[in-house]
Amino acid sequence: MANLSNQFAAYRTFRLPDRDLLNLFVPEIIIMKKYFLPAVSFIVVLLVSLQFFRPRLDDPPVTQDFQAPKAVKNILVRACYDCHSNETKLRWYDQVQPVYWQVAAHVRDGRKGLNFSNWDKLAPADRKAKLWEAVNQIEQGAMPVKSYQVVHPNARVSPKDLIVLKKYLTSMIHDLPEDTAKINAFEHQRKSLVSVDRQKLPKTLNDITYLPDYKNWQVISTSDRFDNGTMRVIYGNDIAVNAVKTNHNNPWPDGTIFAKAAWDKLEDRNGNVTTGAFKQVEYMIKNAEKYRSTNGWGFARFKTPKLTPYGKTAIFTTECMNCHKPMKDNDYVFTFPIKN
Amino acid sequence: MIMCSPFQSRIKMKLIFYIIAAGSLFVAGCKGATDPDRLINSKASLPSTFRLSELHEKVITSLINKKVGTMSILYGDEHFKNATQESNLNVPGNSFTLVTWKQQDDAHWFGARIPGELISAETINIGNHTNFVTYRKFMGKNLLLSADTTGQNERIHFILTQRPSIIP
Ligand code: HEC
Ligand code: HEC
Repeated sequence: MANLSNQFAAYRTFRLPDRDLLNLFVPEIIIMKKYFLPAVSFIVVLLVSLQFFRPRLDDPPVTQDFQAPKAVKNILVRACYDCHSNETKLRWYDQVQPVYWQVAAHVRDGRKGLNFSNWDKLAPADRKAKLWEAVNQIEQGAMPVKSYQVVHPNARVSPKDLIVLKKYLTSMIHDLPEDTAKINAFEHQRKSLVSVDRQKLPKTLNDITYLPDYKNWQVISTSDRFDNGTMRVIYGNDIAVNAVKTNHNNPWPDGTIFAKAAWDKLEDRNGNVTTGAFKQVEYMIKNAEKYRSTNGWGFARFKTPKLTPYGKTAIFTTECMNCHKPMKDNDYVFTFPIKN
Repeated sequence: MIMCSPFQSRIKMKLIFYIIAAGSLFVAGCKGATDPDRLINSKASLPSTFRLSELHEKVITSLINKKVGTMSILYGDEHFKNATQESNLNVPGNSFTLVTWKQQDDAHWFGARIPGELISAETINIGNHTNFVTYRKFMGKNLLLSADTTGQNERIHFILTQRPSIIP
């Protein structure tokens, strides 16, 4: 007991001169100290009370879990399932406020765009498309979310993992020469073509009207999509073409419009591929002010030669934006334009 | 005292990590735009001397040759609107340009191939009255006129038998 109090006394004698010295020579510190304690206590009280305000986050049922070879599945479960499934496994440090707010928002938004627990809700073609999108988001460094990855280092997808995922995707491609279904679809479209009624051009829910003039614009690129068996031509209006000519293509100037037309690929036995059924034409219209809420671009898609506007609600643009998001340093544009 | 328990220091570490991560994301967000030059596909670009854009030709169709890994666009001065015409492009007065590139992987999308090196541009002019077909082939990055005439007839046949795409 005596021993202890001796130690305490020794500690005090050691500390006191130290403090006095500070107080003598740096009077500002006194002022700082005066406010420091209340400020810290305020923050602590705030942080503690924040713990009681928690966004709701529950785990809805898994209707059908995504199935794939073990090596593939393991990577996605480890790196993506916290935000893209109903089997979210939050660690205790994810649940401390205010971090929890961000985590909960990530899980909510993540599940909305891609949910491996509701795999049955997607048509087979959409499942494939989501997987290609997922692997592309990883390759471009957009997923898993960076801040999450820092705290969950084992969620990182290594270059080796990425190769495993890519191999899985390419193994699912089965190009079929002389695919009768595609040939029939093409012939059917050709026979049933009607000219579009120019009086009432179709319009999307975000108020963008189909622009028939794209056919007269210049081509800025073309794309062979082996992920989904289509081929595309990307057109640019005069403003776009001029921007390319003068290297003012990042950011693209207001008034720029891209149109991307897509067709089925029709392959013959010699590997010659031509355009089959027309799938859709899509537009991106640049207007930084008007389309501020969608990253400065107005998105629109018209499907089949009937030009049916795509999107059940006006927020269909979220889908466009999410997939184009990894291109944010390129003004959300994928295409590498060609000068003509 | 409390702040020094190993358990608490892990909370602190994680929180600090999160704050640093959020902060660095802010910085990354401001990392800035890619240099516009780096986004131009210069390998695939046509020399300005060729003046393709001044011909104001329209896309008639696009093609891929899987065996040799090339892709092409066929332009023409007539717009074959609904592709309902029989696939005969061989009409007096028509002219066409077929531009062909070597394919390359798209650095922005695993799952796409885009034009790489420019291989050639072939032009066809069908005489107004004579039906006489002039074929010329321009080769390489600078699209220099080729003197080699072997296989011309096959190429003319190939180009003029393409079916126009449906472009509504
Ligand atoms: C920390 C949570 C989190 C993790 C982990 C995560 N994501 Fe995401 N993901 C999101 C959020 C949030 C979005 C919504 C768009 C945005 O904010 O970027 C999203 C969007 C996406 C989208 C676009 C979906 C759409 O709307 O079309 C894809 C694809 C995607 N993530 C793939 C992945 C893959 C693959 C992984 C694992 C390698 C992964 N994500 C890991 C949070 C996450
Ligand atoms: C699954 C990913 C994905 C989604 C979703 C998506 N896009 Fe794209 N988009 C691409 C890719 C990849 C390209 C590059 C061209 C190509 O290979 O098809 C592209 C290119 C474009 C282009 C040409 C300009 C550019 O960025 O290169 C337009 C216009 C376009 N998309 C419109 C849309 C619209 C409108 C929507 C929503 C209705 C949409 N996109 C949704 C992946 C996507």
